[in-house]
Amino acid sequence: MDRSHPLDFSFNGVAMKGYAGDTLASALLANSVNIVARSFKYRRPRGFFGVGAEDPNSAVAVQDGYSYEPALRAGQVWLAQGMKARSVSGWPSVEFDLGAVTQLFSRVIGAGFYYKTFKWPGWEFFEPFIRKATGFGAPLKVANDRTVQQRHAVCDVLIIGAGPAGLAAATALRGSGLKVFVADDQKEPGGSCRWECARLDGIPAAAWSRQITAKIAADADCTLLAATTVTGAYENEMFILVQTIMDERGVRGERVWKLMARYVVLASGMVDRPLLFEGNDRPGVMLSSAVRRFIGEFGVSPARRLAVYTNNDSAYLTALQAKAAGVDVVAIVDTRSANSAIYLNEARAVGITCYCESQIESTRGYRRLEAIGLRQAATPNIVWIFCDGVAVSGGWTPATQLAAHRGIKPQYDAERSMFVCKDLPESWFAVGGANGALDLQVAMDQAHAAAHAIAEATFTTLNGQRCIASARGFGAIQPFWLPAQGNPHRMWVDLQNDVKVSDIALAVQENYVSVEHLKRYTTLGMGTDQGRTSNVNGLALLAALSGCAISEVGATSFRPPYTATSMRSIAGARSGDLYRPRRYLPAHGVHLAHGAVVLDFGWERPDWYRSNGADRETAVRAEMASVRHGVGVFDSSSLGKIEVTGPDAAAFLARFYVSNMATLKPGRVRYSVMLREDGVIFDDGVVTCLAENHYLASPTSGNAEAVTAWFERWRQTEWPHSRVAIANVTSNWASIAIAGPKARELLIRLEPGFEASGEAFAHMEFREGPVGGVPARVARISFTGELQYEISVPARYAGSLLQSLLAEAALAPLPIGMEAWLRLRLEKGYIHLGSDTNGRTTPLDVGMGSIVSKRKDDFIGKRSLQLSFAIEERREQLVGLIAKRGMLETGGRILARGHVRSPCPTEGYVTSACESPALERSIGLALLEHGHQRNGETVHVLCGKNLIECFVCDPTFYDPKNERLHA
Amino acid sequence: MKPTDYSLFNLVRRGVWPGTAWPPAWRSVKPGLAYDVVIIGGGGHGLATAYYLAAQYGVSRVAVLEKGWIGGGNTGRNTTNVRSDYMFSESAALYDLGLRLYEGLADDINFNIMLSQRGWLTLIHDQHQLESARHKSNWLACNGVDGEIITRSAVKKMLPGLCIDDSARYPVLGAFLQKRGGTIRHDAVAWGFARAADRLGVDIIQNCEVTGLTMKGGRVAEVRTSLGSIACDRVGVAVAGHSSTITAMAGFGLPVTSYPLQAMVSEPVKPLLNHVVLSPGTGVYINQSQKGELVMGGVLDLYPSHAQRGNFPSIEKVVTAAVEMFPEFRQLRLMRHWAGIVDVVPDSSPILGATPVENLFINCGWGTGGFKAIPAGGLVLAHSLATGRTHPLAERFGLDRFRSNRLVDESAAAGIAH
Amino acid sequence: MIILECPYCHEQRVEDELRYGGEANIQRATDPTAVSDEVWTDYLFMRTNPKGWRDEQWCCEAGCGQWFKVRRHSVSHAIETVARFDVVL
Repeated sequence: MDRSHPLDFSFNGVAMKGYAGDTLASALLANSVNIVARSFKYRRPRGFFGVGAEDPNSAVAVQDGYSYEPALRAGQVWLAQGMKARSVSGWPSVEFDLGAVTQLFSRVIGAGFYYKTFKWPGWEFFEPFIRKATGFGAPLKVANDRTVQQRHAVCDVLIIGAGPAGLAAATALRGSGLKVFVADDQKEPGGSCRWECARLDGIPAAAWSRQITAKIAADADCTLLAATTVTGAYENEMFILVQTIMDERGVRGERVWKLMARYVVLASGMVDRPLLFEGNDRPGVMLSSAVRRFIGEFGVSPARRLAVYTNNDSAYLTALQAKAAGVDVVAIVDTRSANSAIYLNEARAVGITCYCESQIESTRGYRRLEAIGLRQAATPNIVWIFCDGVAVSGGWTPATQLAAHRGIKPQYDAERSMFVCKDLPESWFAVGGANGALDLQVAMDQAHAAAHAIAEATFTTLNGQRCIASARGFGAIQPFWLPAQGNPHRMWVDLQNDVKVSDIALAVQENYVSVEHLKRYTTLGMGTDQGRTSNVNGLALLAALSGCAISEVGATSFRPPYTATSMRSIAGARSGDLYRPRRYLPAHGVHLAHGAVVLDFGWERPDWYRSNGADRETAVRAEMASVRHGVGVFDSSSLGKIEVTGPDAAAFLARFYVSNMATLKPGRVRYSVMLREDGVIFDDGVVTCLAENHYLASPTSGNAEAVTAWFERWRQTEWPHSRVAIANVTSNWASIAIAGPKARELLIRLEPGFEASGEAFAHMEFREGPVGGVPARVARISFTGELQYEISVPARYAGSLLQSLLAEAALAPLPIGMEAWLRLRLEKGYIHLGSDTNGRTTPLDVGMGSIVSKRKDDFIGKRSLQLSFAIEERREQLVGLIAKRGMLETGGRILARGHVRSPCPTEGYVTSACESPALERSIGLALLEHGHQRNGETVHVLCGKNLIECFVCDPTFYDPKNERLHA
Repeated sequence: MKPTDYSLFNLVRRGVWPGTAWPPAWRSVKPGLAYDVVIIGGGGHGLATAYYLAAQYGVSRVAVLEKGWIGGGNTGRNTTNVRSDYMFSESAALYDLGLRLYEGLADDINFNIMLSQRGWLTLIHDQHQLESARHKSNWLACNGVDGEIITRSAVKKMLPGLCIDDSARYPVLGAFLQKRGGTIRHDAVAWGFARAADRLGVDIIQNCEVTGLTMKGGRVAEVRTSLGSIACDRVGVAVAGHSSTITAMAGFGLPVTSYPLQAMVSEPVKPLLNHVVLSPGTGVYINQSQKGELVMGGVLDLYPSHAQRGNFPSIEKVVTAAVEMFPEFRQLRLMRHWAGIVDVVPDSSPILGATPVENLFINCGWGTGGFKAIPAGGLVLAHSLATGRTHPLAERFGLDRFRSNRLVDESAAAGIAH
Repeated sequence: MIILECPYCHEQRVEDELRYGGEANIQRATDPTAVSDEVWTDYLFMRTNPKGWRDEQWCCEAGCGQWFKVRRHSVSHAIETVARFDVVL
């Protein structure tokens, strides 16, 4: 706390003052804010119950100098200049909430009531009201974002928590040469050193922790991360840490660490557990440990007249500390007998009235606690004590959540009445509060021992001395779970979700006695505080009500993250184009210069060109016409290119393709498909024999990586002795296709270094030589049905090649986009993989049956084509469709014979469709059951609202004799 | 109306006149020595099977054996989404039966399962997906199942927080909407079926692990458990990711591999997402629960596992995708994440009905889509267990399809995630 | 998060850099036409899927690209063996 540094902030519009070092919670308390939130179900007033992450109540929306957070717990927000906070529950305001009317029906709307009603007139009638009532806060539509960073690190030891035990472990490991990370979720390390009355190594704990912190921070082997929460522990000792970066204006950013550690010291401390009594949810009732910290660290008293209620000795320390700070401590109420209370005389000596063997039976006050009614053992009367605060301690709960993330179930320790982790992995050490240590010296010794065990395991030596602590211990506890008196309908177990003792009793009565059932049925511990203060009481009640021991009911599992983690930090910088990078063609800029409308086809590719027409349809038709009647230029660089070389290359490729690639001669090109082992078409494309033992396979654009990996995997795992090398050269080469009757003329204008006449360079042949002055590989293949060359040049020449082709004004070449290209091939009846084939299509279905039956040797997937699925009658086979009238649409569903109205059985679908300029009709390719035998038949196709009548025909609509591509 | 029925009247009555306590939702019983039918697996499918056996087939000497607590597997771990927009007519028939049974279930079993038919939107990011969506809507129309394509501006209206402007990495051209799709309170399905089955005399036995099957003449004679041996005429297996383990006890294998599926919720916030939305671009689906939490799920982990543990790399993928789709979610916080173990088969369709063991019938292989089919899966397994024959709707989903490779691969036909 | 050390390049890789490739020791028939439909479909579809130790194929995808074998526990994710592909587990 820095009293010399005041800060202005506001809460629900009211201006307030705090100090640097305050949390929002401590500042609000200092400004006498009483009601900070409303509970979830009954809308009861809620004040501060805890001091940090364990607080179930204080969800507030916070705007600091950087950004907006819809719902944070006030104890986890560090006060900043100009901060604006407001409550996120309560309507019209948190002070006055109309929703509190639900309390009138609380007897009816107990645990799980919604499972028993709302069935009439229908859940949909009630749901909107219920949804509106739930949730804390809402994001802003427009909000400034924080900086987010991600870091990776590896260390030998991760110490979680820089309280006294964590610092002791860190200081013991100093000088060992081990790389140590210390993470603490508070802005300033030290943990309870900052608020408990203790001396370490002869000096006050706060001074000790500053000293140690300074030493650790200066040590090159140590990384001390303050304001850093370890949010998750994962296998292989991978941890997620979220570090908050702050300055005087607020939270500037967050940094997510992925940290791998060999050893883990869990020094995450423990929190107090509440006691159950009637009216224990009133503002003013607070955990005893929270009271000590509010007073000790922040110098703010949560009450003017404070009572203390406990079943152990630690709460006496709260009373003594409060008394010393000038708070009027009106009573200590202890459920135990006087001879169990070790600090009893001390408390009485400073003038605190102590009631032993007593219980709080009732409370008064609504918006704020006004009085407690207590009953001493064997007395008939309730004694009312006026107070505006009660510090409660019903025992402690070690913070073992991170161990639970690793699947370790905490076990019940009856002596200390708490759940501790007993079966930690060898590399984990729980020390101090996290291990249930109730005495500071024990905690320090555990830390020391953990450091030595790590040193021994890593063959390093430690020189440090054991740390000597002088502090009063937390003493002994006598469990006290369920008071005999008091109304269970008014005893809260979970303050956020309004789960009461009566709810747990109801769940038990209805046999929801598995821990998980109890949790889910009552919503106990399902709130944003993750049940830090309510779970154990719930378990104990379950045990008591179902008549078994606490150790028998088992523990609930904690799931990551430890505290809620901002989704922006998890996402980091991966947004927009960094979410999934785009792939650009090497000549991207040239396309843009020609007015390309670029879309994401896996690669960013031109769909059509504005230079060819004002709208898409006009441009596409112009592009198609230029290919049919002149020449068009199409960038096919994204098409896969895989070089396969070596003495066994031919035999190797033959195993993948349906066609026998072993017979392919140098300078020749062959089209085929390859199958998965189950007989389904996986990819299609051409293979070029560049030279003896040197092949170029061209898979589809989307499959270049997959086919490379597929080749490589078979080579390594099935045919490891094949003398073959496989290289994916897709991005090394750019490919520009020129198509149309004038394609040859265009090629010749670029002065190819080879004879390009129709006789010398035939269809399905390949030539290598300079084109336009740059080295090129040219294949004469066709996707459009026209004379077509595909010119591949090193990728850096892509732009200049494209430009020089388009600059041949005499031939009026047009750049061609994807849409025109795909329509051209549709007219020709060539399949487009993934559109005209699906995950069930075999080569037999697309008319390659004769090629398959000619193959004598094996290829991948061949055996599956003999299974009954491949030869059954109702195969969907590729056919062409010509609409009698109207427009076919891709995705149209073909009705079964004899049906003209849906719903009805169907027999296939339109896989591609377009208006064919060549036929002046709407045409399509389709997969149709027994399609190959249905030539000439009429079928009905459902396209949205229209039913289109079509002829079934051969899929080749254009130039069926292939005269044009052989031109 | 019986006094033990769930109704507003009884709720008020018990609230006003204390002392009229609710009875247990189901009894805790010790296993008997013999049953007509033993169902292994007390998740949604197993409990639904027991309910339909008793309610529709009159077989009530039935035991449901659950290793842990009922509904503790994928039923209590999934993202609670339901839909029936399947394309293959056999899949459509099965899943739509599931959804139709769900639509009447609250009345059938007298338990509010909170069916919220808020609409399921599958976004359309590109031309190819638009064509697939057209195919799907045409096909669904032929199957008689609802589903339609809606425009970009309609999507904008329904999902105001969705980033659909030109800066979006995955542009939105529209969406495929099934209005009957939505969410159901998952625990309620398990508890509701358990309570209804229990009321019809079914024994639900928790904390009872099956340790072996005693085989006699190609039949299961006894189910051996941690609580003793149980003789039975027929055995039903509905254990999702643990199916291979049980069938191995009966001596046969399955084409099943178990994968973890990660799920997660944000801290609860005020309503900001009123529908279920799936983006094929990011592979992530999101809804907002009645409590206000954003419930998110996505792709499977990359490798098989039986460990129900959260895995950060998968969490990162889903959260990153969620904030990419809905930029305002950047302000929200992730509250909890966990995993379920799903049973993945090569065609992502269920395996239902007969097995090589004469009196053992199976219900598995739902992969990530089991929750939406619980009533249908239960009904068809109940049919097999009661009659010894495969239910007509399950005929195409037999284990024998993997001998002929006659798979029912919906995603292969559509490229749409489950 | 799975972390494996590639037995070829000896680099440690996290799961995003690796590729899982299914059960190891699945035998493809030397002459597929000579085997029955049952043997062939077993090869295509049937997997052991044990809850316990599994023999698997993994690839050092973001590294040296080699396929190797791993014996891994499906519940604890403990790794017992990482071996080159020609090793019989």
